[in-house]
Amino acid sequence: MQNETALFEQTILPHLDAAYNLARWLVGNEPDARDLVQDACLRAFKSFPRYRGGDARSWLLTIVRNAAYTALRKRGASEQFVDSDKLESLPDDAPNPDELRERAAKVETVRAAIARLPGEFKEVIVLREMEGFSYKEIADVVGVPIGTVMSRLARGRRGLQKLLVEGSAP
Amino acid sequence: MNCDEALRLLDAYHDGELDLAHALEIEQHVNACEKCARALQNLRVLSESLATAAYPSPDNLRETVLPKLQTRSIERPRRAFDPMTALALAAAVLFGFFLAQILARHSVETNLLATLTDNHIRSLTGTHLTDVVSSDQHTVRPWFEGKIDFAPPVEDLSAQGFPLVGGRLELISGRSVAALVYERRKHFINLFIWPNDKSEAIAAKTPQRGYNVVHWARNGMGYWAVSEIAADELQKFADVFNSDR
Repeated sequence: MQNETALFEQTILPHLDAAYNLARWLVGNEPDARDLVQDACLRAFKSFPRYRGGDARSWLLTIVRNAAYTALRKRGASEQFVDSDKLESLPDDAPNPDELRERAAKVETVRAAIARLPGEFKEVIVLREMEGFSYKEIADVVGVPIGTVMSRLARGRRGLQKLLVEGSAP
Repeated sequence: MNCDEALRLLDAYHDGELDLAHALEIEQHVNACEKCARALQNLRVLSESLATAAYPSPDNLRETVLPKLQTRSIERPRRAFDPMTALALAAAVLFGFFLAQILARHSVETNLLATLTDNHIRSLTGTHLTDVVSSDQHTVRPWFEGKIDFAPPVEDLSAQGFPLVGGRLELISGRSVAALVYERRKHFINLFIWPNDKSEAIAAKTPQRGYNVVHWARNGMGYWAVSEIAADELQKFADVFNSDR
């Protein structure tokens, strides 16, 4: 039993930071994210005997993601997302890179923009841009085809550019 | 390639997820099209700032997760005597024994050769020949900075008939290594590089499933070139790479 715990610690716990970051983005605040990571680790530990090797990080984050959506459903999600249609309807002028860089200079501004993205875009952005997941790894965690990952990522990024350049628009 | 196509593939290009042929088309298009070049620039700016937006874990996160696991593991000692568990354990030990026997027969080098060949084949069939696509050594060399703990020598050998196509990171036997990709008449050479203190002359290894492998080590780096090109050509590549130009 001690060995199992030790093995779990070695394989799974190195990915705690990635787990926390994803949880933090999906549930939106620190205390909930912390609870969620604890809960997800416990679930992971219970099903660890069924873990067949493979990518430990993707495996843990899949559990975190499922736990996050379960928690959000219980909470009766009342998030302040821009909906997808609204995102598409924002003006589509490719911004000037310098202007974009200026708008995206403050981490709070960037975080506020990401927070307004609908979950399906937010999660792919977090996994790709912050955790450096490949499309294949994202596809595994999110449970969609690679092509869908690619298009969500593209739309999410366009959306973020628009939100950043729009600045304070609702 | 027109703008619509380019913009559709631009994210995948930016993420290093595009196959080589499309990646080269994108590069050509972006060199000629200001609008798409700006869109690519925007992706880079955005990625830079998004990378900083991750939330760091609270300091004691690990400490709050661990005790819960330990309590759980102490709760369950009785299960250890479950007959099914015992049976599974016995099977695992037996399996491990046979596995050890099989593994012992393979020398370390045989395994390495197989791994490198697999890697070479995968790089050609998948969508992941290169992470950074460029024939310019001054683009490829800095790309590795910060990604690995050594600086691989990157040289374009177009003049000698081996143009540089790009580079990527690979995980070989648990360590990050640099893979440089060179082209030889429509065929590719993967050159795997990682630090090696020994000095070894250029030597052809046993061909692997029709692929030739050449190895050498000098100046603190070990090199493994894998390719489907003829053995003497691969040898020539090694000579050219090694010569002081």
